[in-house]
Amino acid sequence: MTKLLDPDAYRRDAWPPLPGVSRRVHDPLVFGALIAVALGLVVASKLEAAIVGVARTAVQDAASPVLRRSQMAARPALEMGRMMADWRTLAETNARLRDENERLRGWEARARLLEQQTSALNEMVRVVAEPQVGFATARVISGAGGPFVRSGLLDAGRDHGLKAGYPVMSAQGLAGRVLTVGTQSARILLVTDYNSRIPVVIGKDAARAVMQGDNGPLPRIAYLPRDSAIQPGDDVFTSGVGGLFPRGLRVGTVVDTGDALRIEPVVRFDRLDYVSVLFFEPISASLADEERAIEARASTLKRLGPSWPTSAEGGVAR
Amino acid sequence: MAVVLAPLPIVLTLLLVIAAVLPWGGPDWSEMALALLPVSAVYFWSLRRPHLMPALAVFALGMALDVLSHHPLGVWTSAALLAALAGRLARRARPGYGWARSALNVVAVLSLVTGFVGVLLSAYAWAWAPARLMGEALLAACIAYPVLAGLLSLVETAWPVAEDRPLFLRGD
Repeated sequence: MTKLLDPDAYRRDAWPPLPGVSRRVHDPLVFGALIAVALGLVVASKLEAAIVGVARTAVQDAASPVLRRSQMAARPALEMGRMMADWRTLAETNARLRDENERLRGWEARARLLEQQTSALNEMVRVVAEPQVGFATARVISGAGGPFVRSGLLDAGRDHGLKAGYPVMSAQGLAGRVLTVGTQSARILLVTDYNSRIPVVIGKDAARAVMQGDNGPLPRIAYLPRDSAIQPGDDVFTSGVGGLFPRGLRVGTVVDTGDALRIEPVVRFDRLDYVSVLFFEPISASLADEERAIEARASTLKRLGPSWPTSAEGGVAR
Repeated sequence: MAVVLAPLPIVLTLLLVIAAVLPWGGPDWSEMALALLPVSAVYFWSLRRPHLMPALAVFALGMALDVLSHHPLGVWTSAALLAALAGRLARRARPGYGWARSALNVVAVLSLVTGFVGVLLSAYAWAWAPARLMGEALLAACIAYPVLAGLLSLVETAWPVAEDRPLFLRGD
């Protein structure tokens, strides 16, 4: 009991020092060594060591059930926060929605007419119907942000048919794409992330450009042709160039920030709850797969030697 | 009872790690500020009960934060280790500190950690980390620290005063 009341106990070091090491240098030595290991891991991450990616995905998979339950437990607090945020702008939102509703009623009739015209024209010119793209809907169980990160974690993975590169949609439009996939979880890269580059078309003239994330709320417009006349309010859609995304996914609208034109995404990232992952095979990836398969087949043929039937003999077609 | 409570600081810090990566949907700086909360908890326990927050546990907690927040591995790990080391060094001279000096210590440690993370991320991305975002996150973390420390102090009362050695190494 005397020991418990010892006033100097607070001052003592907690752990016995390493043999031959004085107490004064023990902590700096141990922590310094671990900080050096951690900095080594930063370098390994930068060099994109394969083991780092594998370990990261494995931990994410293991943590996804915990995160799912934690998110459900924290849901009331989350909803309360959102309600409070909404409450402040309730009157303003109401007026805006009323205006929007009026305008949309006018557009609805026009859209129906255009739809009829388009389907009649498609019929006339025999347009090949685009293949239907499947999708899976998943919940965002973790958000991640920092000076250079805008990403999220989904509670669906390879077991649910997800693959790296698949586009991710919210109810409003394009939210990002799948970055890494585990068996039960997938990391998505949001369109606002520093590393996000999305080929887009802007406005009535369909000016081609690249939407470039910079971790801010309004991504930049890059590689826009000099003669293109885009203006605030123009809609932005994916162009499909490069084959990473299908053409025509809604991305955002052009806004004027005062010093430059930027894109305001239609997705509200602070409300990202459920998202749909489109099973859209990136064209470049499928071409690369095909190329790899051809190379593998060619090397097998080479290894087996001239006795193996060739395409000319009708055995193996390249 | 004390042995049962021994992992509580680590568990509580792990809960803060999980809370930091949940999709709260706050402003830009809030995610960085939330990530500073587990680091603040590491500092608190290293200052008050270092035997309950060993170096390897700090390393593991930092790694969990790195993986779940999708930062490069080692960034938050080294930041948490830095905070733990600062807590342990501050602890040696702690008796006699007034609240003002303690508050200054907290601000200094959180500034050090935020600056360290900013420099590491800037070097990693080869671009300057936005100073405003880091500053806002730091300010929020400094304001949140007294609340966090107050809550953790309530938990701390579960242990006898001045119990200092590792509970599982006591032998008595």
